Amino acid sequence: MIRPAQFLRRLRSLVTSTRRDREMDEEMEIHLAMEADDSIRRGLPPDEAMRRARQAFGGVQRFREEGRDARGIGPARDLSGDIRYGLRVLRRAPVFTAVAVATLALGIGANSAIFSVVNAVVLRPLPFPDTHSLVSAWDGGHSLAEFTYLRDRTRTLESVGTYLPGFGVSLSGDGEPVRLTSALVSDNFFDVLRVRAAYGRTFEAGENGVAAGPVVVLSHALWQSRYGSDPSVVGRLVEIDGVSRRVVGIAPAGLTFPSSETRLWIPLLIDPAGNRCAADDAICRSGALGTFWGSYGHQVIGRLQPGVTREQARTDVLRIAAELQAENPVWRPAMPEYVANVSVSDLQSRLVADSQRLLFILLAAVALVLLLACANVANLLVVRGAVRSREMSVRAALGAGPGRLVRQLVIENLLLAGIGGAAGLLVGVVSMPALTAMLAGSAPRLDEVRLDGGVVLFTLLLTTATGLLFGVLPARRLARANAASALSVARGGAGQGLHHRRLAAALVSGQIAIGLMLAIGAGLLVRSLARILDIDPGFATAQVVSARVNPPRARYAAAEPRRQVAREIVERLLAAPGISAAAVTTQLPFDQTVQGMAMWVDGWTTDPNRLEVLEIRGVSPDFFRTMGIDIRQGRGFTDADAGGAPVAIVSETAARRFWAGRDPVGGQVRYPWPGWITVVGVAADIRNNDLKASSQPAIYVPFAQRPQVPFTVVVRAPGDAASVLATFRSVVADVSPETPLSHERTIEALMQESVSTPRAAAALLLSFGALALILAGVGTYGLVAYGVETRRQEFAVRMAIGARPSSVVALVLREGARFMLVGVVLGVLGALAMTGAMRSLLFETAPTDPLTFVTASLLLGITALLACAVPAWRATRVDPNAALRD
Amino acid sequence: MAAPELQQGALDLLILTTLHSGALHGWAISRRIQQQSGDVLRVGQGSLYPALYRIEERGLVRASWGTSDEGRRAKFYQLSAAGRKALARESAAWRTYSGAINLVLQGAGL
Repeated sequence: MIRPAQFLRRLRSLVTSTRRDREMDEEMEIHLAMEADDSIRRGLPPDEAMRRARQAFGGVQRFREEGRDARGIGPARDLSGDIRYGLRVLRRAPVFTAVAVATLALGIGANSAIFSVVNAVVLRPLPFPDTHSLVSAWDGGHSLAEFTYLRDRTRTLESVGTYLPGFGVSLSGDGEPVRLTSALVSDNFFDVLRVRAAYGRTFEAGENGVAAGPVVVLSHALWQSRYGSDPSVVGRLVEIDGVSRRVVGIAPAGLTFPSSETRLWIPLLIDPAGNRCAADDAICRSGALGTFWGSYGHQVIGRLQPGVTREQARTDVLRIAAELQAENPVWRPAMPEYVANVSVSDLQSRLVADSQRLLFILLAAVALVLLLACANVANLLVVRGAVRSREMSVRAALGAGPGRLVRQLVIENLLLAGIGGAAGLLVGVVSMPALTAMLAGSAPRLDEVRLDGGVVLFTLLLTTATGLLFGVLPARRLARANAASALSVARGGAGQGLHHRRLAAALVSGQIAIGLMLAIGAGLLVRSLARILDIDPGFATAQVVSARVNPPRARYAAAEPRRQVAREIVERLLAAPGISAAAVTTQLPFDQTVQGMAMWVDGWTTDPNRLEVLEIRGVSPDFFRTMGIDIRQGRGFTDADAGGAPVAIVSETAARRFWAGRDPVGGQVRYPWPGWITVVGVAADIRNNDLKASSQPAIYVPFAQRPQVPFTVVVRAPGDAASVLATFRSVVADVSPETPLSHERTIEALMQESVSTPRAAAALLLSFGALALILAGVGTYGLVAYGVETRRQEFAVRMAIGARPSSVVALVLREGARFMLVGVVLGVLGALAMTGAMRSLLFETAPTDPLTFVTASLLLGITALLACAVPAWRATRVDPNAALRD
Repeated sequence: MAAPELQQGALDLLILTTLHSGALHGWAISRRIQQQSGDVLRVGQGSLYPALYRIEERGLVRASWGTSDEGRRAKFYQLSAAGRKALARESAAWRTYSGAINLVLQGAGL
């Protein structure tokens, strides 16, 4: 406590410090002069006298500084001295320093790494000018008709563009044919983004038209890798999906929107009268559901007019949606909530919406880890404080005030944090690639994750905050304790030990609580992941290898060549050694695509505007056998179906839903246009793309009756997947050399990819939880070991008067158990408060799952007790004679 | 709490003692302590001015500028009323303390 009078004096001295400094300088000069006078009186020559005077006095500068300290003002000049002293102190205690720095490096490193992801994904603006006015104009996928309605009728948007992301194309000529991801875009796409071409131009108005010449814009990366950064590639023709397209421009470096895989941009064909149908595709050409109205999945982006809010834009889009609903020739059965769903959101938040929750949880988890690390280091400092109290006493006796001592300690702690922070930044940078690999598929823009000014600044701030957080309490305590009882150190500080122990016990309880919260979080995610992996997808996942076959669309425009290439590839594969089954499908489960078809079900559908949407797959006869999908009723497909009457197989869910109480076999369905298809069988349900989502009604048709490109070939082969894929490649190269293969994967790998987000979340939280467990264990061990050390004499006395070792062990464990229990209770309460935020990441697992809470608590308890056991054992080994002599 | 303060501030006590007989400037204080201790205690001179300022902060001495016997401008320190009280209190405590230590030393035959 500072008395008011003292406080006022300090305040005054702060204000008048310059004057007082001058005064003290002057006084010291006078002192020297007097000393010299004295020497001269005793017969020394003047300059020798002055030299001696200075010698006797020491450096004037030093005393000036100490004089200022006496008045309680810390000048910046002392800083370098304090830092040098602090470094010396840290060097003198290498074990302490190493443990503290390692702890901090892990804590800060985890934060830097996660922050670098948050920074790239959420915080860093999209690489476009004026991102604030860039909106996702109409969330969800839309048809080109809907886009043109919005584009032509909007009153609030300056410009409206659209794109179809992730459109796979084959690029041939200039070397091996390759499979690349393109984006099909409206001609104003780059203008809406306000991006100029690095070379050449972007698209021009009219290039979405039927009459426009085929053009393409290449990404900077593709231009570098395939064309060696040759600017003359602009204007050249390249072959994409069998069509010669003129390269009109190269996009600026770094631009890959809409996805990081985008390598080229191709204008959409926007043709209100027609569609993108192949020449003899009867289904497509039958008109009613052309691609203009019937192909969804186009994303709509726009620029808000100046001064228009997102809410105003939403009202505007809502109006247009209502008009659309009235004028739409094909009602969208999948979206009964068509109008109500309209929203206009900031493009960036829309892109990161799905990953934000995961990143938030990770950020919270690493913050807890850092808090735990702080508690650990604080604990180390408290224990060390007991050792250093003598040093503090000596410094206090030499005239250093409490403020000066606190400052010295705070600087030491900041130094410690600084070293830990630098090491942490290194840990962060080193773990970035692993982190982004783990998060692949769970967040966009991961290719932009890197060490930048933001990450460095964040780490710096975090480091400073960390240093203050773990350092201030122990420092204040140490400095104050010593200022108050400078001489009491001689007594060995029994009372002080107790004092320290109480603070340390609180810290360890906190550590156990935080460790438990992380363990519970990790446990919930692991349990949720196990629940997901327990789900039977409905098909065999082992020994099935797949690859997508991409015959150039232009050369395989007609149905017959498509049928033929598929048939030939399957036949050749079946003849190859080690392959027991092979089949074709237009959509492979879990390859992250969905093909839906609106269908009329005879005896169920009554309203032509309320058709049912079924997942549709065109498959060859062996598909069910290859994938291990049971035919539950009726028959599978045969080769005879290729030229026969239209037939279909429906899934059990479809059968249950649309043929309730009736026999689906023999039932009739049709596309939105005339032409009945007979149901000949019922196949077992399978899950598609997301294990967590229940099976949707599905329909299978013979591939030969509806041949599409690209298609996927699946083979069942007990052997090594790599050699199977080699066979695959040579077969396809033989059958159709201009056809690239893509998406070469095992079904198992596909399934793993589908759980990449829950897996990444569980793995990351598990590693943070393990880190927390170790830190909490070390903290507990340190506290108990220190407690045993300070109570050696007590234990010696107890043992000397006949206490059994077991009772000494019990004594130590009882103390450990006390703060462990406090920690567990706090941890459970903390977890209850926080796990609710994880709900969206959990599958069939309650955020309060009792099993997880109990298991995690037991785990923490056992860890803490193990940490107590070694010191407890050591307590029984105290030699009474030796201890009592000390 | 006089004892620890006395311990921490043995120099403070010495300074207050030299000022008992009247106002002195810094150099004279250091010279006086050296002489009176039979040249045993050379005031770690660097501690002198910080100590003087500290004591002044605590209100135990008053300082004023004047002219020394040799005609140099100098700052003179003088005990305040509080300083006199502190001197009486701390010197008594010091005597008790050092007397006690002497007793112990004698008891041990040292």
